Amino acid sequence: MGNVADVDALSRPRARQSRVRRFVSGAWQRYPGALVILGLLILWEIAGELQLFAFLPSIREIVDAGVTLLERPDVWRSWGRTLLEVFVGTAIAVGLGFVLGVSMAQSRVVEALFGLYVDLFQSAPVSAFVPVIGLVFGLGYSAIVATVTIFAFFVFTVNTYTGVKNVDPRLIEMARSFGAGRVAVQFRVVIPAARPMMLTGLGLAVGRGVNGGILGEMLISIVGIGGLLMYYGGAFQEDFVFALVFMVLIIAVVLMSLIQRLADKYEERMR
Amino acid sequence: MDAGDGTSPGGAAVVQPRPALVKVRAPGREWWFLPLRILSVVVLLGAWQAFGGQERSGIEFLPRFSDVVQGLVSLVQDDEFWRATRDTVQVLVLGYALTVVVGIPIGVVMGAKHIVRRALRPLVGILLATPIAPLVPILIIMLGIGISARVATIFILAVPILIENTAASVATVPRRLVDMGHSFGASRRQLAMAVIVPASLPGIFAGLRLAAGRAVVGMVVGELIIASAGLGQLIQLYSTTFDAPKLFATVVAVLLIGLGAVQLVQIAERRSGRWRR
Amino acid sequence: MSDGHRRVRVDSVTKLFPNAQGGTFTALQDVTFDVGDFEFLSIIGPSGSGKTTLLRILGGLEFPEHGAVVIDEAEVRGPGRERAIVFQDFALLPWRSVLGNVVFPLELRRVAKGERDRRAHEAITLVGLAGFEDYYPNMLSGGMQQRVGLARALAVEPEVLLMDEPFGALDAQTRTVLQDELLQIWERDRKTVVFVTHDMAEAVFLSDRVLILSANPGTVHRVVTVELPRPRLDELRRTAEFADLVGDVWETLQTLTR
Ligand SMILES: Nc1ncnc2c1ncn2[C@@H]1O[C@H](COP(=O)(O)OP(=O)(O)O)[C@@H](O)[C@H]1O
Ligand SMILES: [Mg+2]
Repeated sequence: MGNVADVDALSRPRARQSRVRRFVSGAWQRYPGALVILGLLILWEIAGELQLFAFLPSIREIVDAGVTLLERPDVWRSWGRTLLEVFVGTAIAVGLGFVLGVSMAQSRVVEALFGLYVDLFQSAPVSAFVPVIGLVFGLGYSAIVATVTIFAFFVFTVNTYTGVKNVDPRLIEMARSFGAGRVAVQFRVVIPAARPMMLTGLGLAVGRGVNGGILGEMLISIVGIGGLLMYYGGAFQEDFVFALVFMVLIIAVVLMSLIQRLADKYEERMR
Repeated sequence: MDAGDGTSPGGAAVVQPRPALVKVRAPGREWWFLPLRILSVVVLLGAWQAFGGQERSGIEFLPRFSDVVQGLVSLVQDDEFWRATRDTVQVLVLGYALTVVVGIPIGVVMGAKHIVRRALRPLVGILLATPIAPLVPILIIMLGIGISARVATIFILAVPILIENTAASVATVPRRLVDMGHSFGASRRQLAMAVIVPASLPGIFAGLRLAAGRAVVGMVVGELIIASAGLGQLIQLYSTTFDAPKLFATVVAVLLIGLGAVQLVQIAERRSGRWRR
Repeated sequence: MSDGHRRVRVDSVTKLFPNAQGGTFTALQDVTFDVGDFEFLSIIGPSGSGKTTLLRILGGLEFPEHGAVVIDEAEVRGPGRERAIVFQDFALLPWRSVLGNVVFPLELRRVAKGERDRRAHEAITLVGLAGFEDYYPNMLSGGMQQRVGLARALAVEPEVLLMDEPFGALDAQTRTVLQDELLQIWERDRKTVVFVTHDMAEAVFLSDRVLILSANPGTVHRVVTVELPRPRLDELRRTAEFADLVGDVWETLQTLTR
């Protein structure tokens, strides 16, 4: 509680309503978010069918394009390639970020050595590096993986660092008092306590990784899903572009929310 | 105690020492922290200098540090660079201004009205998770390769985080402060301007800071993909002509603009946030 | 003391809240009482008996489902200029100085700057905070913060002062000091006060009458009249009459909490 909204939530006498009105207002009360999105999609469909905007395809056309895309094996191969790049790149980022984040949080020496760069790049537009990555890593598979890694690395490192820094020192003292050694403290107190933060970081890292992978494909080597996007965009086939964007969106949102759900579960358990 | 007559009224009241107004972020109290940090920078640049400029297996091409510095020097003397910079900054300012003007009011209404919050939250959540890169081709199709597609890229990337932060901080303004305002007869407008907005200012500024970071990202992504103007076009140009020193130098310039933008918001934040601990 | 004129009339007030099961919960049922002109009335009761709810209704922050609150022949329909609330958790604006907090309601009422500052300084001096005008709430102890809350309420020169466990968050020592000071201020400038507390000694020490609420649902259980002479000084706390009255209230509350 304790919020502003409650102030006006009081005192609105309920008028008698027809059954339809009651159903609509009931649904609105219960699922306002879904209804807003549904409403936007309907408006979109209408605008698309009526061709109100020159380049706005209707939802139906986008779905058709999506079905066409899914029937083509080369599109599946592109997805396979992109997801593999994202997976490998994020895994490298998480591995490196875990080591760096945990050690930076607990050692002032490590923090002195690396903290500056993490600070600088966590909110820096790493996208600016993409052409540089192309130059350094060539135009192949490794360049895209490197792009994903750079995109995902800093969020995960910062979240890990923050999670470990915020571990309640009393818990560590408690563990010590029961005879836990350095290693036991790390594995039984510090890392479990920091796990929700790390999982949140992982969710963000995957989101950025997808973004980085596609950007890399668009700018460096025109392969995978990013390549398809560039191709259809250049050919002004906006229904295909929208279909691909929706696929990317769905995959990114599903991946991120799965990870976030895992994080919430841990967090709940720790409360 | 440095005010009044030097006695604490009522005996039991104690004044805590006046806290520092600006929190000094830890560069470390240890004497060796800063030297070590400098050492790490020196070693990094030294390694870059030593390993750069050669073709190695796996690494195609990395200019030496000194080459990049030279590239930077020649860039700064180049009118083309300054024209591109002005163009880029202009788009950034436009996109960010649009973000602020649209994002804060929506966020305030979302924070204050429960039903609006529930209605818009999923949409904002989806926008937050949307990868920006694939959207740019759509924006190009719809808006052309002019300034508006770049502004739109910035806006789409930056506005959800500002809305989210503003709404969250307005929604958590302590109930007692709202009650207090009501009890003294504040009108809706007075309540919003004198209580709710100031009380949620820390959260709004956090949103402004994050939005500035994302705005810069949007600026870069937009320019790289659209590649019709600004520093993004220069980056594309230098990367296709393999002018590595200038490419690196331009990237550094972009990073500096990004840092500068976020820094500006932080300065404003510090100015406004004096009352906080 | 009450001179017979009724300033505040609470007339069979019933307040319902939605409960977690989707039904309603009766927080206050048929609560009826008067507060006389310049009377100091305390409301005491077990937690959950609706004290805060009742005070919020008096303040116009909450509205009863049945019944009404009438002040000076007018039904309360919202916050009003003749009332001011002192909040339990102070409710100070952390971004405003002491002075800024005290002038806040005067700004809302568009009182001219000079007048505003004069009245604020007067109130600040009255609560013993002269010299602390430029301090920010987080630099002050709890006792001093509530003095600011009190000064803010006094600055609007209300006829009815509503206080919800104003000293509840303070340590025992500070609490008695502030009780003494509140009485001194009240002696000098009498107002009608409704004072919610869960501290029996506090209720007896301050009040002309103590209203005891019972819980589930909140109803008026008993009204104890405190015939102790005024002005009341600290010594009063150590007299037998005082102890007897507190004991009386204590026994009543015992039967309610069982
Ligand atoms: N906004 C509300 N919504 C639902 N129940 C409430 C609300 N405010 C108070 N109550 C309920 O009303 C009862 C009385 O609360 P309150 O007035 O705070 O009691 P007291 O101040 O005497 O402890 C409690 O049971 C409380 O849970
Ligand atoms: Mg209460």
